[in-house]
Amino acid sequence: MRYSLSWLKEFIELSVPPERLAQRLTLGGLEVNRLEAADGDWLFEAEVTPNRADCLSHLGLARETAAVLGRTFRFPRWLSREFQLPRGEQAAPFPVTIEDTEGCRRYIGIVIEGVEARPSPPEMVKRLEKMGLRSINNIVDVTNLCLLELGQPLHAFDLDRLEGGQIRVRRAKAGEKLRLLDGNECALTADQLVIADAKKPVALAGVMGGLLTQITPNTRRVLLESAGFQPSLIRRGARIAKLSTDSSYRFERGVDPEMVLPAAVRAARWITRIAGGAVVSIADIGQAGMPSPTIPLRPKKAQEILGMKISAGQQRRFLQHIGCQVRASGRNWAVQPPSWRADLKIPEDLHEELARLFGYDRCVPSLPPLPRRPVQPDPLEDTSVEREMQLRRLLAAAGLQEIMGYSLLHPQDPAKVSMFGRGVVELKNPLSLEQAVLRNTLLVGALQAVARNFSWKTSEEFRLFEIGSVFGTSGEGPPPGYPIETRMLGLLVGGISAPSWGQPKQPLGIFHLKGILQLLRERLNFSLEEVPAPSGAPEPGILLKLSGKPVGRLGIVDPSVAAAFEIPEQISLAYAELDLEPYLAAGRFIPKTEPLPKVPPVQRDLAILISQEIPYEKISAAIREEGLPLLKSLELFDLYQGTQVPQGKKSLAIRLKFLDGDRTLTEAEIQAAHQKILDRLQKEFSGILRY
Amino acid sequence: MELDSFQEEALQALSGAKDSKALELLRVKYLGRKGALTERFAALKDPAQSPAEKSRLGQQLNEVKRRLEEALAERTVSLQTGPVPSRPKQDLTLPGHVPQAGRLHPLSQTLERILEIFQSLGFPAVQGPEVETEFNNFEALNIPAEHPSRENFDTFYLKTAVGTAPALLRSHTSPVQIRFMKSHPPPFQVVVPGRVYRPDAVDATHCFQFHQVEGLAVAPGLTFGDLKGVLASWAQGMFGSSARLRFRPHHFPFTEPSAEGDLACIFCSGSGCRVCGRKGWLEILGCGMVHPQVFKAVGYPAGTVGFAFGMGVERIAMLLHGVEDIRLFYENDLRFLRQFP
Repeated sequence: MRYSLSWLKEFIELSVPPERLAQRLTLGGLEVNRLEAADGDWLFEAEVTPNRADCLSHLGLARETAAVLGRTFRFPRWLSREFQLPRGEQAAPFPVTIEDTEGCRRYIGIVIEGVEARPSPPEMVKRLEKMGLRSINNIVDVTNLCLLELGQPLHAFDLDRLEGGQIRVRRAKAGEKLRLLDGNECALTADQLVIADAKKPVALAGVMGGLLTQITPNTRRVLLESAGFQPSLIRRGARIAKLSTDSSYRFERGVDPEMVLPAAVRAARWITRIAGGAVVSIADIGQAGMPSPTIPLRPKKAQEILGMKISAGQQRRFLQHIGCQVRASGRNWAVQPPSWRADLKIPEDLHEELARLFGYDRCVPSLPPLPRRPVQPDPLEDTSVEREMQLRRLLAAAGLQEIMGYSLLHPQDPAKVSMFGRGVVELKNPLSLEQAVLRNTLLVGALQAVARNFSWKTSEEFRLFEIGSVFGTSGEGPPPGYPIETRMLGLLVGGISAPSWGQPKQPLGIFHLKGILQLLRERLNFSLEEVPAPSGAPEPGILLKLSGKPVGRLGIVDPSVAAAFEIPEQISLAYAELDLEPYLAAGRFIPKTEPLPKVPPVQRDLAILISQEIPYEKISAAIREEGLPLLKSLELFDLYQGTQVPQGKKSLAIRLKFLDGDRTLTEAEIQAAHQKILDRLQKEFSGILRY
Repeated sequence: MELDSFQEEALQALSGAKDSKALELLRVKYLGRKGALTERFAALKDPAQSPAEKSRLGQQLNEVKRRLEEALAERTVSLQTGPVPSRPKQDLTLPGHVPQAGRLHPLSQTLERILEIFQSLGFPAVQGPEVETEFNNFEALNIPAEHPSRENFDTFYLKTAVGTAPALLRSHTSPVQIRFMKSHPPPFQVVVPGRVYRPDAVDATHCFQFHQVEGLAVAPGLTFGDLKGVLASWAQGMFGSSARLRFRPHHFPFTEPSAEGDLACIFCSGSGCRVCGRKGWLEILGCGMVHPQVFKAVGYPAGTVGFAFGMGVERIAMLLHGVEDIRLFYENDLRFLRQFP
């Protein structure tokens, strides 16, 4: 809210410089974001937190100022006079009925006759403008100034426009309409509270008045409304109408129930002074404010929990400075907050008041000493954050750049990739179509990153990964459409490695990706199996399985998919996506080491010609099986198919390593093992030994 | 003298040997078992010579042998390592081959740093889901429906529901507090990193997604001073030992008392600059003592005490690295990402 220093000074004597005042208010919890000199005055822009509705007026700021400066606030005498009922009203009160007594606690209607709506005096216009408001006419201006002065929203009706000579405070009926002061017609619902005359709604209660009953130059009789409404109902009413007004803003946060009558009286006196006329009747319907409940407070406990040495005497003074009644007897005090501090309900609320008036900065920082230091949860219980970080570091060390994409996508983006076929989760209230659905794959972000960097000529080589949550709807029940969230790892490798002198350009592809997965297996104890997707599957590629369960897939990005992201054809990309949940749930991996063999392994290279039709997986499986128990590892180190070998054949060069514990193997044993493997390859695949 | 010219000839031959094969032949020729020098040593046995003569000749021969052996060793080394006249000299000013090393995303780097410091203060990290219920995101945190405090937590809702309750994208990491407390009795302390969502139009400082780190400590006797101490220690670990935190009263529905933590501007040390908006302070975290309503919502007994805090990872990364546009974190432009170690 914006405040004027000169206006503030009508309520409290002040000698502190404005900058100092701003700082005191800020450190007291009312953060002053801007302070500017304007026209012989100072304007403060302060952030009022939702719990401090009492500060949304100059009177409120004066009370807060007194408290943070360590003073007791007293109403200035002129204001007390303004709160006194004018004498001489004799007519019967205007008929007001509160039908929704929960929605409206109290309603005051003051009838003023013989007014003349004119432009306001220049000083009133100036003050309104300073506050960012436009002057309407003298009567409306008084209601607005009273709101900024006392925090009580008020409304003035042209009494002669009220049909049936009565006011009813009720819920709107479905189908009712109301044209508001801003000119818009509002279709009302039963969730909204309205002020109505005998026939129709004339104001959206606590939010905005109706156009039909507004004050005009022809207005002679005014009904001045001052009421107490239920905050949540006003909030709902304003939200349905898509409105937020100075009035609704205050009602939502709660206004001082004790200010309903004084504010009405002050406004009525002010109106009669500048618009003429006289108060002829006052209707006061509903309940006066209830006394605020008392809060128990133990000063010693407050000291302990705050870690601040605030003496009992200081505590009592602080509470009195904010207007509390304190009955201090022994260790248990009873504190009654003032009517304008409905936010104070429990002892902890009072602790905050004590702390902020003492000064948060005067609280000595401490690290909890051992007796009150909280113990950690079992560090092995949830290691998912640690495991993710470990995975990130490994992938970065392996040469991949981590990226982070948007979780919210355009609905067309998941459709472009359709990797998983999982249903897309949609937002009910998106900001725009660009961010209307939740990502169901990390591929979209990766492809967007490739497209961006290619178009900026940043790189022609891509090794990217992302770890993040993806979302999908479960295909089957129960219940169908239930959103499922999964931590995923996305890997994307492709393009052409940047050439360097002495090192040729090298295309990156699916085998680099498989190599990365191999690294994860070895380094993170992540036993992934690769299973070729069945022929006829919607997307060719390799399924990744963990203990037989599918956890992801690996494949080459279809050029048409890449093209949909405006990635040129010459960039070939391979992508893998992996459900991390089993990995994260597996807990910390603490490897157990094995003693090193005392003898080196015996190494034999095997070069064979074999039909191109036979996948490597089958060949290596056969070698492994046949090589038992001496064969410790095999490694493909060359693959050739071309003019140097017969058509339809490929040449494989495989390095075999044999070892048997700490024993030195004899030449005969190795020869036998080697031959056994050769025989098997010959028999099963018609493999021919090349050398 | 005959021996001198022999020595001269042998030394020249050795130093001129073209390769190790030639050198070996020369070794055999001069120093071998039947080499020229050995023959001369054999001649010493000739009884015709006087003992003095023998001794003088023996010393001379030994000296020649030593020189030849030296020359042989020298040439052996120079043939192995020395400059080969036929090959061009290496240009050592050529650029090196830079190893292919990846990087963590700047937000991961910042997050890692934040978590490491809290880890050293005894706060392990746990995480929770991004799709949440209204109960965990709002009600249990003392943010009732139709309450103005919800205004600061505008939220994305999903079209699909979790069971019968509306599902939403969490607007802060605090719902993980609720999940954790429901499954763990006090005392404990944890931090919670994670991605959160708010329907903010995207500009240089706002994005509909960002990351937070939340902290929660629950144990008898914890004080507001402890909260300040933990956060001050963290700030010093994060921003250096001269980092100063200021605590300012604020309002959060789930803490009472509540505070905002301002860091003395790390650019102007508090004197006021463009980054801190001439305030001298940078708002970087919110915190407070956990509101009794929150403990009640998770079924903890009355009188439970604890503190909580929360901070934005993007905000901290932007301050630390002078990033002026939050969108840079999600555009994955390698020109940006490669500026981080």
